[in-house]
Amino acid sequence: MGLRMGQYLPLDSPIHRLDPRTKLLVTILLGLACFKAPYPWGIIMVVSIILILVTASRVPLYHYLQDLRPFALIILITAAIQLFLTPGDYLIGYPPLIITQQGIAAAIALLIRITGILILARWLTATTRPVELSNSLETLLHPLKRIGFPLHELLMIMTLSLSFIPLLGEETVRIQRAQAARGANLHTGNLLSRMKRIIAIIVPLLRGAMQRAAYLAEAMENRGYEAGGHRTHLYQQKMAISDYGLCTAVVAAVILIL
Amino acid sequence: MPITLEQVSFSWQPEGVFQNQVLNNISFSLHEGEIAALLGPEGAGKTTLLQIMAGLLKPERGRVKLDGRTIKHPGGYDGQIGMLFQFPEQQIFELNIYNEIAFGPKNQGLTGKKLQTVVYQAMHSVNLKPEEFLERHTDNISSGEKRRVAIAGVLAMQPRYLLLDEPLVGLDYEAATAVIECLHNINQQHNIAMVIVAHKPDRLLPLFNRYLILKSGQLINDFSPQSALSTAQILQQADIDLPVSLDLIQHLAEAGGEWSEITTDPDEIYRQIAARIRNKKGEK
Repeated sequence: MGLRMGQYLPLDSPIHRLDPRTKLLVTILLGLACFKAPYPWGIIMVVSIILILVTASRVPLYHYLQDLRPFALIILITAAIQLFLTPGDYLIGYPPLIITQQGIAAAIALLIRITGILILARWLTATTRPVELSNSLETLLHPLKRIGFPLHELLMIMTLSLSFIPLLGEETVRIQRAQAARGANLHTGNLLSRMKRIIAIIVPLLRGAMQRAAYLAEAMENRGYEAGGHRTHLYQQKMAISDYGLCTAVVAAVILIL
Repeated sequence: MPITLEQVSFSWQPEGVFQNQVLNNISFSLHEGEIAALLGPEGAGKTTLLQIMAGLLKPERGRVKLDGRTIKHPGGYDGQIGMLFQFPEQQIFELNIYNEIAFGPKNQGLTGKKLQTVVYQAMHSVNLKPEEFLERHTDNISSGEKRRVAIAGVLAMQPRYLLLDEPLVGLDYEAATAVIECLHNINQQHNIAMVIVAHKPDRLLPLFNRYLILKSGQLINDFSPQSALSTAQILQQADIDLPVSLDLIQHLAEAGGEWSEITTDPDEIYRQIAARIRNKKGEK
């Protein structure tokens, strides 16, 4: 199979070697900065930092851009709304579609902000395994456990959900091809007939997913998993000098930008 | 006219650090009536090759032709190439068996009496009695019967070529026997050519009259089996786990004696071994 969207990409890079908590913290801080940074210099600075991190991850830029494709339409529509509906100094167009100077700036800013955040999220998932991510969230949110918050259980659900997404994606493609081999072409015919053909994919997909979930639950219970039990980790996360260095640099940069 | 593959190559990520070349320069033709085993280690590209032959994946380079025309659609032209995925029973979605088998031909535009005829014919081909199974719920049949329903669903489209990915995986002895018999009958009665991917092809050996060996995306051997011994030697050279019967004959040949005339049919192999043991005892 080809690479799946959001998949962890096992490479040897300085970013891959970082502690997952560092990457999570950097993602949250830069994500916030990307949304709040003033236009244009603040945004340029945030984008520059993101590009440095992307380059250091050794994952080629086009992989990031490939994963942006499903969001392209939503990003463009949102930018277009900004472009045409932002009041300001008239530049070109006829009512109701008027482009203003402020509209252009708002559209470009929003385009960069959303793209930046999506690339940042992809940077995190491309360089961090889902289990590492879940463990680091558990460490960072540990204080919540003291007030009885079922943190581990919720993170277990999150990890399992994350690991199910690519499996479901693969399963969908497989069933789609199997039904296509029986003449079920989802891309032709009117809406009603296309919807009918989608049933040929949805039914086996859901049945398979439920069966898989049941097997997984049984397998976990058989191996002694119990909700609410006290757990330790085989591999303890350790922050290195590079982690402290990056965290400090990003915190300083974000304070400077905002 | 055959299905012809001309220098077919395929990769999941055509460029970059994650490039994954799956098939490299594959060429061969599959003629009507042939039953070819497609063997190779895990990750050799067997399933991908089947999907390309079925028109479900587009080759990166090269062409797949059916009757001289390049295949551009799933199933070739008019559903002439049928493909059965691994665990096809998991793709069953209709409530009763008739509707499940009729799904393919309906997509081909068949209705009424014609549709009913092809569904009945397909059910007979896989030894499912229409009067017994037609209205049965698809959840209320055994896994072997489900597998045969899935095969019938493909046969109902009246293909000339059938591509099967691990048709016996997950089946018990009796269900596997029923599927093997049905594949044999389909080939004999309708002259349908097949390519069968199998990891443990022991029970399928009598069906094969051709072997295609894939390794690291390359077709490293394409031969017709002359004898059990020569087939075992070729498979071993290609690092393929030998089926039990071929492994046995290989060991016996190494221990001495003349074993080169026996065919690849496991029953024949075991009969010959038993006969020789009996002869040996008689001599004593």
